[in-house]
This record gives sequence, C-alpha cells and structure tokens, in this order.
Amino acid sequence: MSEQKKLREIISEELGKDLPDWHLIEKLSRSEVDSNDDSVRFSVDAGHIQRLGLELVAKQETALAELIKNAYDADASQVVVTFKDHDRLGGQLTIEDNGLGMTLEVVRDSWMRLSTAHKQTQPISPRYQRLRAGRKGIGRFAVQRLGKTLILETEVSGNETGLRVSFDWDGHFESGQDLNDIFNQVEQYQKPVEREGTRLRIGLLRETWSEAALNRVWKMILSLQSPFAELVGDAMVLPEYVDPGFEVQLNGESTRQRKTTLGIESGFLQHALATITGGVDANGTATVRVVSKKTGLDDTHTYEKKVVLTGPFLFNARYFIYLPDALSGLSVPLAREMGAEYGGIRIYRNGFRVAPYGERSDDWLRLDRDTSRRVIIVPANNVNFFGQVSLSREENPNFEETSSREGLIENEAFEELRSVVRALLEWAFLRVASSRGRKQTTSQKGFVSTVRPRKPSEIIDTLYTSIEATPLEDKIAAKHESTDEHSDAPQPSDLPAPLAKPREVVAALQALEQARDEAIRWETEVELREAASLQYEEMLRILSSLGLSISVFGHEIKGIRSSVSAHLAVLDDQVSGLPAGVKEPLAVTASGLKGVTSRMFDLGGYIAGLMSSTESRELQPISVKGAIERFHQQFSQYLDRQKIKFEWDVVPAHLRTIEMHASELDSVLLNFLTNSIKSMKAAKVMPRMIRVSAREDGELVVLSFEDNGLGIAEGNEHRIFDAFYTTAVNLDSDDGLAGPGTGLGLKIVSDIATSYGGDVTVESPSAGYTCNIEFRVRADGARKE
Amino acid sequence: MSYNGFFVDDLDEIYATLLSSVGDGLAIKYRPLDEAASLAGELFNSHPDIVAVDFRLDENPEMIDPNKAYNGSGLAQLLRDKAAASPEYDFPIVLISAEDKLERFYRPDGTAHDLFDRIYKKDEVAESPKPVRAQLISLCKGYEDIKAVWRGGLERLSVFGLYGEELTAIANQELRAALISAGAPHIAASIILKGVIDRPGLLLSDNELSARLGIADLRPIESVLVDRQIQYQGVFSGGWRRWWAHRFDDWARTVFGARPTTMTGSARANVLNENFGANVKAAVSTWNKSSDERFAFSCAVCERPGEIRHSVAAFDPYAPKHSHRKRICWDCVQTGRYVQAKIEVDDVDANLVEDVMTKSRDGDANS
Repeated sequence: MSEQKKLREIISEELGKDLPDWHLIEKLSRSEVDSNDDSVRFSVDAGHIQRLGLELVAKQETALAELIKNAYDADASQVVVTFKDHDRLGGQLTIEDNGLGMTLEVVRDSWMRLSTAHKQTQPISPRYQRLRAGRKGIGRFAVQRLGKTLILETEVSGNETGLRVSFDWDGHFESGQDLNDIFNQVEQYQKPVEREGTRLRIGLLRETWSEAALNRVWKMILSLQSPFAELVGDAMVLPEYVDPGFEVQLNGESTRQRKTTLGIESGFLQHALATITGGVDANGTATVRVVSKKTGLDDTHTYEKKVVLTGPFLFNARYFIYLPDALSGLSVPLAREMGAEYGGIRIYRNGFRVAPYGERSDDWLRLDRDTSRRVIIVPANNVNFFGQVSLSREENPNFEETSSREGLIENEAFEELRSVVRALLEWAFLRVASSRGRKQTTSQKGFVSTVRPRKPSEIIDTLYTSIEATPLEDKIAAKHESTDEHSDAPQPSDLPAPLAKPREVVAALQALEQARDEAIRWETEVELREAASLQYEEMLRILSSLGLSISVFGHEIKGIRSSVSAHLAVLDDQVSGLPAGVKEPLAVTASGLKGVTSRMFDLGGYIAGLMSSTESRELQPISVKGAIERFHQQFSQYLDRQKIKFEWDVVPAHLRTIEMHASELDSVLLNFLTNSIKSMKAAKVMPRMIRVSAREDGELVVLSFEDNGLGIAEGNEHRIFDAFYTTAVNLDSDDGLAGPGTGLGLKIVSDIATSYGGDVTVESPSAGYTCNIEFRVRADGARKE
Repeated sequence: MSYNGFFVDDLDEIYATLLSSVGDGLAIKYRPLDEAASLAGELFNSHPDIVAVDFRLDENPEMIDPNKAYNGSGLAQLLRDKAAASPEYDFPIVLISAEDKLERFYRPDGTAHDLFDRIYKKDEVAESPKPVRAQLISLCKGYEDIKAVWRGGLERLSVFGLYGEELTAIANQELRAALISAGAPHIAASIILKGVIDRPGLLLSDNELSARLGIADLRPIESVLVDRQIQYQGVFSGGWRRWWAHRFDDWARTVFGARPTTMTGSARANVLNENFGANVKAAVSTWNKSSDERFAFSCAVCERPGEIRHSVAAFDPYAPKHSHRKRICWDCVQTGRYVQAKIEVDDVDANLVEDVMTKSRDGDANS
C-alpha cells in the first residue's frame, strides 16, 4: 500500500470517530497534499520562531521597544512594564497595555500569523487614528527574544471573557518540527466586560536586566518619541484628532516622572547657539535656514542639487558649542553631559525613533569621522547637535527599516538622505563659524581670529570629545593594531558595544580628564584672582571718581578758606571795638566759629596739598626726610589739636627711595596716620603718640610707623593688608581727616610697596607703643659717600 | 595821615573791609567790576593812594559779561599807562589773589610781573592782615616819597635816607642809572623793591643779618643794632625791616675784629654775648647741626643761616650787580625742599647737587 493510500485510510478512520483528532487529520492531510508529485510548497520549521526572535533582534531593549510600539499601534494610552527578579536569569517581565485587545480571530489571523500584512493593509489605528509603527508583522516575536515562555492574555471590551495563550518557546518550538504542528492552547477566562487590553507575561527571562540595562531601557523608551518637544514642531507628523497620549510605566515609574528631568532638558535647548531647520519639499528642493540670536545670524540656503529619492521631509537641529561664551551662562559640563547623552541627529519615522541614528556610537552623517580627520575644523561632532530627521511611511516610501529594527535599509534613498542632510547641516554650521569670526576651513590661510584665546580646559575638552567621538570601528581597529594579543583585557566584542573602548583610548581619556580637572582648578584660581582684582579695580575706580569730587571740594574749601578767615578777622576787629558787656558773648561766639572753621580748613588744606602733590607724575627718588618733614609740617596743626605727640627720625638723613611718585609716599604716610588716629581714639589713650622712623636695610628703605592705639589683634597681621578688610567700622570715624574705613588703605600701601620692590609687615613695636607697621621699598641705588 | 585806596574783585568784598579795619592809616573801599576802561578811568581819576586787585576778575558772570571780562593785569596795565602820562598821580598797585590762581595764572604770565608792586595771597592777608596792611601803607608812603623827589634827577636817590659820601658809596651806577632813567614812579618803586628791598646786597633782612652774625635769633641783639643806626630807614622801610649792609659790615669789623663770616657761629655768638651781654645763641648748621660752621647767608629756601661750604648757588637771572647771590643750603637740596619752593640751583653747582643728594652727614635727621 502506498504511503498516500495509507494516509487517506487513517484520515478516513479518524473522521469516522465520534471525536476525531482534527490536529491529526490536518497534519495527515498536509502530508497527503505534500506527497503529491505534481507540486511543492514551502513549509516552516518550528525553529524559525527562534530566528524571528532571538536571532533577529540583537538587543533586548530593542525587543522591549518593539513590544511597546505594538501597544501604541493597538491604541493603548498606557503600557505598564514590570520586571520581577530581573537582576538574575529566569526573571519575569510583564508588559500590559490598555489597548484594543484581540479577539480570537485577531489572535489567530494576525498575532499567530507570521509576516502578517495586517498593519500594512491597515496602517491607521482604528480608535486614535495613529500611524502604526509596526509594519512587517514580526515585531511580536521579540517576546521570544526576551524570555523562554510567554503567557499572552488579551481582552476586548464588550466580551465577558478574555483569551489566554501560553507559549513555551524553547520547549515546543524545537527545530525539526513543522511550525504548523505546534498548537498553543487558548484558554478563556472571565473578565469585566469593559476591560480591554493585552498582557504579555514573559517568563524565564533569557538575560538579566541590570540597573544600567534598565537605564538604557528608559533611554530607549523616552527616545521612542522625541524627548525634545521643541524639536517636534512641524517636523513631526501628528494626527489631527485627540489622542490621550501614550504613557509608559516601568517598574512603577512613569515616563511623565522621567520626563521631569527631560522637561528641564527641554529648556536646555533654548541655550543652543543656533537653530537649524531645513528639509526637502515635494519638488525635491532642499533648503536650510540657520538662526543664531547670539551672533545675529539669520540666513537661508538652497541646496544646488534636486533631491529625487527621499521624498519630502523636514529636519530640525539645535547647534551647541561647549564653550562658556557660546552657552550664555549654561554650565559647560552640564551641557557637555547632555550632548553626550542625547546629542546626535536622530531619525524618526511616523513619530517613532529609528535606531541607531543619533546613538552615541552612530555616525551616520560622518560628522565625527570628518571632524577627527580635520575635514571639518569647526565644532561639529554628533554631540554638538540635538536634532532629528522626520520621515513618514506615506511621504517617504523608499525608506524601509531592516528586519532587525536596527536601522533603515541603506539603499539609494538613504544615501541621498545622508548626503543632503549632511550638506545642509554643514552649510549651517560653517555659517555659524563665520558669524563667530572663526576659521571655517583649513584653506583660510592668514585667517585672523577675533575671539579670545581658549582656556586650557576648553582645549582639553575639545580633544576629549574628539577622541571620544571617534567611531567605534576606528577605535577597535586601532585597538587591534596596537593591543598585545596575549593581553588578558577583554576584547571589544566581549563588552557591551557602547563601552567597548580600547584600553589605550580609555587611558588617554582618563589622562585627559585628569588634565582637565587640573586645568579647571588652575582656571578657577585664576578666575577668582581675576574677580578679586576686578573688584579691587572697581573700588579704585570708585575711589578715583570720589577723589575727583574731593579734589573739587578741596579746591572750593581752600578757595573760601581765606574768605572765611578774612570775615572772621573783621568780626574779631569789630567785636573788639564793642563796649564791655556786649563784647564778651560775641567774642566767645566768634572764637567758637573760628575753631570749627579751622577744623574744616585742616581738611581742605590737606586735600589741596595732596592734590598739588599729585600734580607731578614724574618718577623721582624721594628724600624720606623731606617727605616726613613736609608731612609733619602739613599736619602739625591737626596733630596739635588732636594732642598727638609726633616724633620722627631718619637714619641716614640722605635716605632716598627708588624712583617713585612723591604723592605715593605721602599717601602711605597718610594711610598710616589715619589708621593710627582711629586706633588711638578707640583705645582712649593719652598722650597719643606716633613715631615715624626710617632706616636703611640693605637695598631697602624701611619706614616704621608706630602708635599707641589698639594694636593689631593676633592672627590679623596679614589680613590687614587684604582688600576690603577693615576694622574701622567699629571705630570712631567721626573725625573729618581720619574718616571711615574702606578696607583699602593698607591694601593700597601694600600695593605701593610691592610695586617698588618692597612689602609691608606688622612688626614688634618699640617700648611705649602698641603697633608697628613697617613699609619697605627699594632704596635709591645712587652712590653714597 | 590816612591813605585811601580801592580793592577790585568780583567775589570777595571782605578784603577791603579787613585791610581797612585792623588799624589806622589805610582806608580801602571795595570797588565792584565795571567795563575795564571805564573802571580804570574812574579809579585813576579819583587819585587813589593804592589800588588792590584780584587777578581773576571773570568768575562772576552776574557782575560782568563774560565776553567783556578781563583780569587784574589788564586793569593794572590801563592804570599804569595813565600813571606814565601823569606821574604825579602814580600809585602802587598790588595783587591780592588766591594761591592756586597765582600759581596757575599769574606766575606763567611773565608780562604781568612788572605791573604789580607786590603780590599777596588771600590766605596770607586773611591770616595776617596787620603786616600786609603795614606794607600797603609803606607802599603808599614810599610812592609819596618817590613822587616828592621825582623831578630832581639824582635827588631821587634821597629816598634811601642817605646823604653825602655814604650815599655816593652805596648808590652804584646800576642803581643810580636805573632810578634816574625811570619813566614813572612805579618803575622806580619796582627797582627799589625788587633790586634793593628783596635782594641781599645793599640791604639785609633779619634772616640775612642773623646769618652774618652766626646766631639763631636776631632779637637779643636788635637794640644794639638799632642803636648803631644800622637799621634802614629809607623808602619802604615801614613795610619791610632791613639793615644797611655797609653800616653792619663796619660795625661787625669793629666788634669781631675781622670779617664776621671768617668766624664760626659759636665764636661770633660768644663775642656778642661777651660784648653786649645779649644772650644770643649760635646758629646751627642745617646740614650737620653744628654751630662751628662759618655762617654767611640765609638760605634762599628755608631762610635759616647757612655756611658756604654746605650750600649751592641759586639761579637768579635778574640779580643786580649790587646784590649778593642767593644760596641754597645742602639740607634743602638733599630733602628736595628747593624743588618744592621752585628755586633752581645755578648751573655752576649742578654737578654738586647729585653728590649732595647721596651725601652722608653726621647726626640723624629727626624732629
């Protein structure tokens, strides 16, 4: 009996039973059909499922993304992803959405059908009219990539029961079996009538999910749709009806929460140096516009070639240069971090991201390659851009995603896309460079930059970014070329792709990081010093302008001094001629008036004297004796009134300073005097004593200024020479000459000393004195007898 | 007798009152500004004994149109022109101005220097009105004396109060010729004031006399000198006390038995104290604090007694032959005081200055 006849008998026998085994009948019927010598047909081995899942989807997070996209296609507004025991092998993952769910027919005809054209024939979702992301009808096999088992539960609103189907991928779908022969039991269970959605319980996870992996999942989830709402604009194809949105929850944390940080990051885009928008219209004309408020740039350019294959699309990018002057106050490290995390030009198709474009390791526009080769000499690594190219299935039919979901098929349309986007982008960033006064190409010989020199840390940063952004394959090639083959270090292929940096590269990056840290420390110190210096200069400017006012005041005071004195002298004369009894009270009043005006004139006289001594800008050796004598003479009346015993001596008498301004030595003496007066007043000592002595010490003139005031508190000996350090706020500053403390007096003294090769120090006072400050400047180098 | 005058200023009326109120003998009226020629005419026609003006007369636009403003020298020139035509009505003109204005405006204006008999700072007038007033009165009287002998040619020399051989001895050709040829009393006054009163030579100031006596203070010996009629009594002596150099030299040779400047200060002080019981103190060198120096002049800068060997010559381009060259002590050179006083060292001693600057001296310099 022939095989064919035998099969027919068995089928016939089975059909005669009360409860025939239909699976057996179907299988035998197939065998019977296949045994026909007139025709042949494809059959599918059960092991094919493994290929659709485990072997086709490279990364587990890509697999998860496919399943989330399916939920979106099913009009879900929320999908909840829950891992259990995910940190070890055999964990469990549940993906539950509130989408439309599937009837048994849909499960059978679509979910259980390979390469179904369901989404192709119905590209728009029925409820929210979403453009469906899936197309090939194989995305669901990602479940097989993730775990060994699957329990599919799906519920349709209006039905009292839900469907549950279990799969044991590794147990049932073994190679050698015909896929048609593997049946999965459908179980119906009671459910609330209104409830709908699909739940995938993936068991016996094939890989562990570390925190790093979960972070990558988050990154993937958040980047499924553009993380930067600002970039969406017209570039996104959005449905015109109300869509409640699509929320993903991962282990209890929602995208909304996660996007809180991204919300901040969205504001980040406002710091971009330039906005670049462009695209290709229906006629194949490509245009680009670059706008930079910071440099006042707003320019448009039309690509000279017609773009014929891509179809119309838009692209939008924000251009960043990680330098302080290009970030308008945004932290450079933060911006750089953002660039490393989210930078790049991505491709979105029907609103969903197409990996790997814009990933850190991707360089589809050849930006990193050409920068490292100095084909591009302006900052234009992938990390310098935050952007996207928006394609749609309808407008751009020539683009197809690979089955692995890892990119578009690199056909001619893709090459044209790459070429035109790069050209438009390049025109834009070169325009920005031009507007910033930067050299744009290496051929610009004799180019004179108008920008400030770069900081060491910025140079190191550029170097760091350049090395880091070098395409991985280049690094691997470099690694292979240079690595000792006996090395125990893990080979790049052993490591997760993003981390697979050759050892030398890692070492170089670490060294650069150290150098950058050191440079930043140095720069910080310099900037602090610069800030302090600016503050000091600012105060000097204020004092300088104040000095002008005082000069005018002093001049006026001096001008009226003689007039007031003349009036007082006349008054004296007139009073002296009055009869006794009338004369006395008037004489007392006149005397009082004379006293207070004298006090005022002390100040006026001093200021006028000071101003006249500053008239000479000539540098000349100053006789210390002459300077002290003049000083004493100028203030003798004031010192007498203040009951201050003033002594001075100069040894040798011919002691002269190095060439300096006479007014500077006067200023030093005045600063010392005013400090002493304040201090002696506060100390309430009597008699008040000041002793000025000058001597020669090697090549230095040492001028010692001593008083018997409060003295200088221990520990403050050095601080008193710092800018803005003052103790005078608590002292009596009622005195017109001594005045209030600015905290700059001794700083100025210190600066004068330093600028003439000396210094100022606090020294031990002589007996009877409490404070001694010594001022040193270089002595006149002329020959001595 | 009381002299009458005017003070012309656009701001400070008080100086007129002040100069009039501190004693008898001078009545100064304040005269506000007017158009220059009118004012000059009015002032001259009122035959004043003296006119005082401020240098800047353009600071009060309420008083005079800024387009018609002028300064003190402009007014003085108009007055001097009138006096040249009518010397019998000539009168002294003095400048009374603020110090800074003198420095900034008057000093650089060399053409104005011969117009004024004296220059006063307002500060100085306000602080010490009496000496200033005395000098103003002396100027009035001096002009009166000069005008009284104006027509007499050689008789003009009589204003010095010397006669006969003594007059012939001191009235050297330079002075004599200048006075005889003077076109107006104010020119003669200027010759006497700037060539005789202000410069050591024929006359000596108190400081010069102290230096020549080698003593710190003239007062203990003043009466002796007055008794010997050494004090100058001639024209302008009321405002500026001076001593006849030739009478002093004669007397000193008698007292010291030699030219006094050949003796140390200590020796001279001893002689004076021994001869007159004057209790004078020997002068102290500004350079080394010693009294055993041969003091010979009063420093042109600090006016203290100085010794030739510790001094340099001062530059004085207008010094007449009968005057003594002014000198600057080394202390004023080394401390830079001479620079502040705007007195130059003569080129003949310029090299010495560099040495002096770094010269060590005995004793400390102290207060």
